[in-house]
Amino acid sequence: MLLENVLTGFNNVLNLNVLLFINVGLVLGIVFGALPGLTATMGVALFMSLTFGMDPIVGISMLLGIYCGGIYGGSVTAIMIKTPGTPASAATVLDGYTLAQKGHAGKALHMALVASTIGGIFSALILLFVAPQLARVALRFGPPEYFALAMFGLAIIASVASKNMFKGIMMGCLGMYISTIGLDEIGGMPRLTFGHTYLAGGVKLIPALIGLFAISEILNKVRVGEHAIEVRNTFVSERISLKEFARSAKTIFKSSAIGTFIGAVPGTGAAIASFLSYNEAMRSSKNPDSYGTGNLDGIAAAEAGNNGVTGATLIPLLTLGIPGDSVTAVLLGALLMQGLQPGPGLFRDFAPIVYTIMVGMIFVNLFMFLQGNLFVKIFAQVAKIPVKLLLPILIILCATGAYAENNTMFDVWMMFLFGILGYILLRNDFPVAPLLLARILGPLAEFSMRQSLIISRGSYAIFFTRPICLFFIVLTVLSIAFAIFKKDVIPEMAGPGDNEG
Amino acid sequence: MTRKNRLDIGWGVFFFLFAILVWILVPHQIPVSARPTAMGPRFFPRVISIILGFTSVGLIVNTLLRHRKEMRNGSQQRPDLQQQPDEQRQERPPAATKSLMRLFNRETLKGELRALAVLITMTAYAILMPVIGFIISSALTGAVVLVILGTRKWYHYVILFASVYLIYYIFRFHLYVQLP
Repeated sequence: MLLENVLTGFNNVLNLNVLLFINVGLVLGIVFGALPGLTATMGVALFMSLTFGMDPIVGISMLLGIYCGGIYGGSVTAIMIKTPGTPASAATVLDGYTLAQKGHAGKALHMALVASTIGGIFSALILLFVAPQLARVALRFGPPEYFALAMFGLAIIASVASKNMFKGIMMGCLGMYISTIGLDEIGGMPRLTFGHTYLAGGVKLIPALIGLFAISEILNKVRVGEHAIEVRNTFVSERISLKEFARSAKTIFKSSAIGTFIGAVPGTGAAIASFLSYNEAMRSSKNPDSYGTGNLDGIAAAEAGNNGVTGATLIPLLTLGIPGDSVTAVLLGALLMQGLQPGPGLFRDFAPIVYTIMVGMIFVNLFMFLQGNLFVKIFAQVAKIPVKLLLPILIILCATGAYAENNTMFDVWMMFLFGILGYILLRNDFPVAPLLLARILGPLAEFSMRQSLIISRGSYAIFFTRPICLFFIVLTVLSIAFAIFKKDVIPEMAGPGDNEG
Repeated sequence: MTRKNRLDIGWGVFFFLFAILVWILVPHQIPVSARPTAMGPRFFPRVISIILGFTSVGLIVNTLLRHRKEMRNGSQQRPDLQQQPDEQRQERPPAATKSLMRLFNRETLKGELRALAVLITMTAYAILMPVIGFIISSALTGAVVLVILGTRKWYHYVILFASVYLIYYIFRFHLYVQLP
């Protein structure tokens, strides 16, 4: 059965349209990732509306290309101009930039590409073999299990995604309020709509996420302006030798595994994975002092770590419908737009599409390797693109994207409103990822809780007598406890943007 | 108290009041259905209000504690500095840095104004789009944003207009979206 589905996946991916749009997505992703201030999340949010009219497989493949390309692309500017294109590549600066300064920019870029590709493929393979098993277990979930699962997702996200736990939870609450607006799913009565007919359908996900992740960042970019690039390394065409690869192979595989593990845990993200991989590589190295002075191993660790996250984040997303970070939350929006509700039902009802997505991840990484090899010289120049010119085009693209789903100006207004909200919140160190995730998980939590209580005739014991349900409740409690004491375990490494992919 | 701490307390108060406001609004804005269920439609918004209220207070208390800690650390550091006047002198920014800092502040103010201007432009865009159509309103908005960002290169405007048409073309003829 598994083999059959995997073969169907291969068959679907090997289609000219899919392959073409994977590559289009990769180019867009690498450019977005490489431009400082534009993230993979923003790229996926912006181009999601373009996939609206596409075949689901083609559209989702393109978005996965943007996602993986975006995480890899951040390394290019990290190495060339000492500015990580995305927070996930902050660790790459340490050795990548220094090595490029010594005249080996080509080597640094090539190592970043090789490590990113191996990390990505490793992660995609784990996704392909773990997700179906997990989905099989999840198929047995009833409303109480879903409630416990949603609570787990909410707790871990609100607490881990922020430096300040209170702010994370407050944003989660705000997202939950937003999710209650509209018709009540069980009673059919309008809630918090203030008599507004447009609000009866609830706050739409797509305008909200374009506003939160694209408009807010655009406004921020407008405010900060373009920093003059102080030093730019010259590009030298050079590759790593087989010997150099062999020397770093252990680090690459270890970091891929770390990245994959981190990615599978909701509420973490690529930035944390790359720093953890880097620290682990340095800790276990015979020569830790060489890290930060242009060590190829350092680049390998950081890049295999952050791209190792990409496939694994899809595990909780596809099997349970729980997005682990902001970029997967946006991907969830894209799946919903295509009529695909992530969760175990997806594996049962849309097996060909799910397997195509998972097999597609392997191809995305293979093409990333190919593109990286062929166009590395061009990508190294990406930072020269004037962001000033891009910003107005992005604003127009945001408005069009928000309008496109329902053909209404109301959604455009909503998007701008969320953009302003996101901008104000970000400026005051409130993380916006929990807000979006609560908007997604809130209805699941409420609906399944009320359904459970209808089943149990109002008895709360239903949540504590079912083993899987109890398991998730214990996990929820543990994750909150972990969040309270986390400062002792994981130092603050990546800043507030660590979940922004 | 630092600006960040003051702001955090302000936000704590704001969200606390917001939670109370929603709590008050719930009976007015959420009718209960005739068929009673185990947990009505008002339950969840109310629970969220309680959680938000408590975490807002938590944020305020946490910030006050942080402030006290900073004060204590500050007063502990001062005698150390007095013992080592040389170090203190080194840490004080020289005149050149000070003027640079002033310049930086002016830059930040300019940045805030730029963001505000773009915000107003976006609002105008949303108002104008249904009136004058997608292409003209987008081209105008894009051009205004370029002006706000201080671009003088003519070909940037040409690229912008071409992109507007390209976006229109893709959405209108390939994705079949009826843009205004």
